[in-house]
Amino acid sequence: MNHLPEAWGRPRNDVYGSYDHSYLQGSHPQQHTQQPIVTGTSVVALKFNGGVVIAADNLASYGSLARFTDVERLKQVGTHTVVGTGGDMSDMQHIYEKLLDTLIIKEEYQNDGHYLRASHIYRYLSRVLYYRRCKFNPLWNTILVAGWDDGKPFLASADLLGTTFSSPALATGYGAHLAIPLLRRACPDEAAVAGITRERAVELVEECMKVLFYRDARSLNKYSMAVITGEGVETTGADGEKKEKVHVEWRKDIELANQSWKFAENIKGYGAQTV
Amino acid sequence: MSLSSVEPLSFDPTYSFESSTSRGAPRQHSFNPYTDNGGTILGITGDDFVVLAGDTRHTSGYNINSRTERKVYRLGEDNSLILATVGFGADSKDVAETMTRAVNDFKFNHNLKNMTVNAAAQFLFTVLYGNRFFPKYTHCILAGLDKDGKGRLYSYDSVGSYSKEGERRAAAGAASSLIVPFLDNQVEFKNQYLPASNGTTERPVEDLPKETVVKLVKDAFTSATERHIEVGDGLQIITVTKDGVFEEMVELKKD
Repeated sequence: MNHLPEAWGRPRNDVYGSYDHSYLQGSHPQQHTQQPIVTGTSVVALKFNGGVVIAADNLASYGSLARFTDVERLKQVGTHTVVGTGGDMSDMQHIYEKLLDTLIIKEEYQNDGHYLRASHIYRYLSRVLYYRRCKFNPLWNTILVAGWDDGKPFLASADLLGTTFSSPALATGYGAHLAIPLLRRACPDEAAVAGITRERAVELVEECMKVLFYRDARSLNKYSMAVITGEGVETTGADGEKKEKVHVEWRKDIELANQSWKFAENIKGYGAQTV
Repeated sequence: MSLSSVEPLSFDPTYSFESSTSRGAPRQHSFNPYTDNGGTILGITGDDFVVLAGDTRHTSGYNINSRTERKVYRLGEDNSLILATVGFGADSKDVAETMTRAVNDFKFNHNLKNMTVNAAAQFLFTVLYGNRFFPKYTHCILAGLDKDGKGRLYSYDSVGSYSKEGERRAAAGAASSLIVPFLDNQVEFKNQYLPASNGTTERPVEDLPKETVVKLVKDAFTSATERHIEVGDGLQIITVTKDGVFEEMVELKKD
């Protein structure tokens, strides 16, 4: 290695000829993201009486290649919130490690008894996504924010365009096609949330993850799940500051159970064929 | 086979069985910052009231994202201003938020005096036209009571065009083409003639009572729900009268 750092890591001129700088020139206009590269697939989430359950598998695909099989796409943000991300994994890591971690650290430095709830995290994320789309430099993700907020379960979605909406059952990517109909059958509207127990919600989301693994070619039989439940209100500090108690139960590296591929032997052609 | 004939791996969104006639010419795939989230809004004025309504279905293509996303907003708590936005959901919400903030700021900058509906109308134009070269892809209907207590209604295109005189009725969004001719006939009495005149004298336009207007709104949306896939689920009707602002939620078909 010589004393010129700019030459490090490049082919030696005396061996390979001089370096062709046209490949690394800075004169062309800067390109923004036009497509995602390493991607995560669906995130599935459902509200129940007393909380929210959210799940995402552990795969990051490179096109059709199952490239990374141990990626955690769910992240707890503060004490009240879990976010799940589909789409570009590097953008997800930017959001998780550069934006959300910083946000929470700054919030905790205040040490003023205030804390960010799920709706605040959601608000922040959706504004960041919308701001980036307005700069024509989108973060290529669809994000579900699940949590406990003001005595109620919270669940909402935001995507790379800044589109936001909320519903008692949400799923991104392929899940929007395959999981949503299954979840809506159990939970058609906000009123139905009261009739869904935690066990039932977990069961439904597990079922969705299975259906998604059967039919989504960019999914994995290993996934993570987080169950966020409200546990009442606690008094913190001497000044009687109230804070909602929230419990987040994590289940990681869940192996897809009770698979049945019996249907597979009957499939001919693309599935619709009968002969 | 020479190595150069092997196609490099790519993330073409096309399929292997698609014809490759356009190979060779570089194709540019670019980010599209807009989408359409469906839905329809509708507003009708009477003499001393105004009604603004919108369905609560939020779509992406054939998917229903949510059945409960409202798109008629109150701009503040103690005034008569209401705004409905439809089109690209993200831009629509951003415009509604900008307006809410402006109306609120105005109040605190003007000794707690509320913004008048015509001032809000002019401001909304400024907001929309200010984004003329990267338009907010949203169609707005702004309504409220003026200082004489008359119902006022203004409708906008995505770059801010509006009529300062206001309108008797307006519809925008996915099913506006279905609703507008209905309103032409039922609110403006187009193609209606006085029975005694044997089809020679047009029926004179008159202000409708509130109950009739609300009935028309419900009819317009149930019909639009039948014929347009992006309309349905729920109907939010906001009525502004001198007694205050009232919201009514009505069920629409969810298919």
